Amino acid sequence: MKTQFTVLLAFLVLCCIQCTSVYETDLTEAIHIPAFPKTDPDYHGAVLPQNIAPVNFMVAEEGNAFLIRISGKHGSPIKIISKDGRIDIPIKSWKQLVSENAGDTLLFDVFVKKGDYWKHYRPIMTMISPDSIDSYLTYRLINPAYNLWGEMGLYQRCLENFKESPILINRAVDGSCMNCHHPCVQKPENVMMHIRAGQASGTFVLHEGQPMKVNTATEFNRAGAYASWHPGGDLITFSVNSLMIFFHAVGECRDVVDNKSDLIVYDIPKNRVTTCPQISAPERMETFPCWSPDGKSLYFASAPIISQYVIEKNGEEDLAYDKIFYDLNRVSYDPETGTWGEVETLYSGEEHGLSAVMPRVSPDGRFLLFTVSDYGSFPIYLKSADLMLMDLASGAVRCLDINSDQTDSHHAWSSTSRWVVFSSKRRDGLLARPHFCHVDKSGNFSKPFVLPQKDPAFYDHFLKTYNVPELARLPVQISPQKIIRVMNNNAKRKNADLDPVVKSRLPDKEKSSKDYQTAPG
Amino acid sequence: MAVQTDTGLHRTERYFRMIYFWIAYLAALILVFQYYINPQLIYQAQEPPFFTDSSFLQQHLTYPGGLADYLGAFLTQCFYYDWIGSIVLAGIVLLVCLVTYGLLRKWAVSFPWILLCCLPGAFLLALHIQFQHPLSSTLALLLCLTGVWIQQYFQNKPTWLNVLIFFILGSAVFYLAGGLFLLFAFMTIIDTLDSRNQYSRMLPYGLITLLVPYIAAKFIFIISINQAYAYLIPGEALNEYAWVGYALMALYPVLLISAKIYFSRQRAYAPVLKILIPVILLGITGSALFTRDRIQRTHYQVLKLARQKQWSKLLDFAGQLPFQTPIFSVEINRALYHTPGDTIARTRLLGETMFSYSQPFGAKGLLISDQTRVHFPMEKSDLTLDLGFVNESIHWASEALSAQGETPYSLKRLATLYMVKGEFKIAQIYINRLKRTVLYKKWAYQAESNITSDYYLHQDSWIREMRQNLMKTDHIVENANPCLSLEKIIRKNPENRMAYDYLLTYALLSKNIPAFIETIARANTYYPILLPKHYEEAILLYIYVLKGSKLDLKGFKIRKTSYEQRFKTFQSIFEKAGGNPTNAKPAMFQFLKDSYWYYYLYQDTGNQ
Repeated sequence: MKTQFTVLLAFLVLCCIQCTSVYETDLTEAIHIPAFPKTDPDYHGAVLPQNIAPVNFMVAEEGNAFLIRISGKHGSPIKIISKDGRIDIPIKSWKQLVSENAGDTLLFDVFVKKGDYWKHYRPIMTMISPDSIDSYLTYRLINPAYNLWGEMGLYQRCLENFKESPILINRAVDGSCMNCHHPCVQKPENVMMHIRAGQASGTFVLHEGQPMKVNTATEFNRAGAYASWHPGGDLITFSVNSLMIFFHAVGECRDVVDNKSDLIVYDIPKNRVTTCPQISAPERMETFPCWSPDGKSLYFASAPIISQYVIEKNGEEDLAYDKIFYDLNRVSYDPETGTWGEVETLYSGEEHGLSAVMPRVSPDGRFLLFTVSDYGSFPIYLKSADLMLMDLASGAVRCLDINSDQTDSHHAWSSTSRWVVFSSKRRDGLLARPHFCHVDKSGNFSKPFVLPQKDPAFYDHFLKTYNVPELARLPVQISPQKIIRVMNNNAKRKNADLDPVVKSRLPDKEKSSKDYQTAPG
Repeated sequence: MAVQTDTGLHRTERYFRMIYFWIAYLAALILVFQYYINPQLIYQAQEPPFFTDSSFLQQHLTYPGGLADYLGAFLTQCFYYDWIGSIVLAGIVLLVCLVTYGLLRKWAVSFPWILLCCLPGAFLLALHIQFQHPLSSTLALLLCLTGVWIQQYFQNKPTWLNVLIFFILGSAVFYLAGGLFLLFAFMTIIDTLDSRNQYSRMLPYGLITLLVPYIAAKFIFIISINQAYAYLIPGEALNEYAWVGYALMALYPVLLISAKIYFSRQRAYAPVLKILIPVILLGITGSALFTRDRIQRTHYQVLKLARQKQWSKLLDFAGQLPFQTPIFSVEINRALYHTPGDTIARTRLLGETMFSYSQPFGAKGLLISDQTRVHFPMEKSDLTLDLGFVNESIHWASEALSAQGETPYSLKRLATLYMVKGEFKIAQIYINRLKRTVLYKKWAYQAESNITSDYYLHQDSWIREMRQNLMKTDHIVENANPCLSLEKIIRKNPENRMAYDYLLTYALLSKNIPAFIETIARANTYYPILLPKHYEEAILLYIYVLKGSKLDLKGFKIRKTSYEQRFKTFQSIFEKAGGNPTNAKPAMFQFLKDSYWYYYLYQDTGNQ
């Protein structure tokens, strides 16, 4: 038995040696092809963070054998042999090679065997940045959203490997709709999310380790939608919206118009909702709040109220939805006294003939990244949606060359300000996938690369869309089971109070909250 | 020696009799499922997605009962073919009965009546006859009973080992079969009652029973407490007949207790049982067959025939319908449109005989209304596709995909429509997904080879036709005013005859005669020789009864049958009734209830 085993082992070793030597012999005679190989995803020219998971890919060239050699200036190269073009890079070797070549270039030599001959393509080059990216990416996975929904979930993915874990899945909360999880950049242990409909309906807030269910609806507003944490960690600014979906006969069917919106500030320790005319002006629709990293300014988008866009067409009232251009605004705030300054317009939608929404300030306070589209406040359904960058020091604005001819939107910064994640539909025009870019100190963006997956063909058949990706340094510090318990326990739900000052200003209590609804993420 | 041979023969004979019995029972089940239930209707009602890739399996490994769901989804694909579906369903029910038989033999010293083991089969029949009962629940029951059966073998082991086995096996049953774990635990506990160490086992058994689902929901799986205890319990998916599932759950403890009390000793059966058990079985089976919900069956039958575009069968079926629902009306009217009428005049039955069918929902029975479409997104997608609204069909197929899961039918629809739009990258994703299905895999590979070039696609006459309907200029889809959208699509493709007929029919059903008259002026494009009967009736109504302004019929002639026979009958009925519609109603019903005039005068438009 022992002898048989030894013979078998020896045979296997010989086979391996033979195989390797065959490849080595063949490769020296490989025909050089003066072109880059077609690969999917395409990582050529991308800048990768040194802590990223292996960038598995498919070689989309015809062939009956594939050999990839990944090498850098330092460390031992990685060789992968594949029969079908699927390149699955061993994580341990990848981690070592990447860490040894941080700040340098990695070369991916692709050899494709067709018939009896090997072809050697021009090597794919990627730069390994010494800047690490935040280790976690959170997002909502849903089918392309219309009116109805079924299964959905909020997930977090460790970017250093392929581990994806659920933050919450809606089957545990009666199949309710869930809006996106939102971490506090400066205090990642603070998170919030919404659940809509059913017993668990409400806003979940994890504040200083304390989970709670909050009803942010008051006499002034219905429950908040788009949110931004104040860096102090005690305030969350929400938009309250009245969104309506409608459908086109040509192109992308879906579109959304916001009929009314305002901003409110929820003070967690006081359990109080407040607002002020600067952020909830009767003649404006304010939405998409974003606090500056120092907590002294609030950025938001706003447009004139909807009635200004009602026009007469063929003797009937019609809404010129495609003429609604949102401005980007900033208002100063004194965290000590809670007082607000004057609103200033940073980017005029009307002036540029574009609608600017979703302002996100880099954590170092240097840049403002935002989305522009042809009109409206729901760019995810518009092909025209592109990312723009404003240098907050100079006020200069430029359209980024990372944009595609499809939707590029829903962006977020890493805590170091050196990385950006955004949702892009560039692969197929329908499904949003998270893409990452390196941003240097001068605001130069590298070529975007898609979130690496264990299965390199994953995006070819995965029908869910990645909604509102956010980067976080830490994973969500609470288990899904705990969130379920908190959200299902209505006895402990906190109903937010309305600031008496705001209450006294309310013109007509009947009118108030009925116009609002929670927004889809 | 002779005695032994006799006994051996007797045993063999009994053994064969038992095999014959089970074969006969299986055959009976297959026939009932095939002819009385029809697995295709179960498929139509549930349509569970199933994919052959590992990620689909992995999703099902993340919650208790997921594996039963996975297996159930796989086996339900067989229901797409009625005979295979019947065999699979009957086979699973038979397995449940056989495991029950095995258990009864274990519990009772004397051999129990084989008919007792068929009782669960009768309950399962009653559950599956409701169409919505998932196969995964029956599979979970099978897994649970198998667990009980395995547990029996460890009954006489030391207490600590027995409890350990109970915990391990129970956890496995919980993971595989979800809430059916409770049945497993309950039966094991009852089974322990007459054992030597009953009291020392009872407490740990009880604790494990309570704690396993609780701990699983609290710390391990992302499920609610309710789901931990109740998921996959038979009847959970049903409303009216949920009690059948609970009765099935109660049956096992009853059987177990009866077996232990009555059959625990070797004794002759009371003669009354010889009669009582078959009577009970027949009673339950008969009741099960009677619980078949005729409305549900008809509902799924109509939807199935419409989906398969078996229009003539659907119309035959519709003729026997004792009741109507908005979706029935929609599908019947759709079938009427797709069925040719007069071949020379190129009419469709919609304009010829639609009022021979009840139209109680008016225009809401033509185009799916706001209230109905949420429940029938895929039917809305079918209808809008027929009408040539490519974007709307995508919209509703996507709604179906979100709400009802990635069913192959909706995936195929989306792949096809994106091919029509020339958006091949999107079409390819749906095709890739379909390549992982069981039923549409072949279609997916074929479609993939076609989209390599738009040239191949253009050879497809259906795609060419649909592309003619593709709008060039955008407009907002008016759900509140479907006529506007119909008008726009006719303007884009004047050959879109269905949109035109629906526009006319919408006006008829809404009793909007002016709109009808305005639209009929363009009829010669679509009806070069003759107008359909109901259109003629509306014109006659307009000219003679409503005294409308002069109408240019553009060369159309009203058929003799319409004018001389039917309209004159209508006029004479009214003259006899003194012009009073109420007095004329009985005669109208007798002679002209299939006319537009009857609908116009006596039926509401579905808005009331």
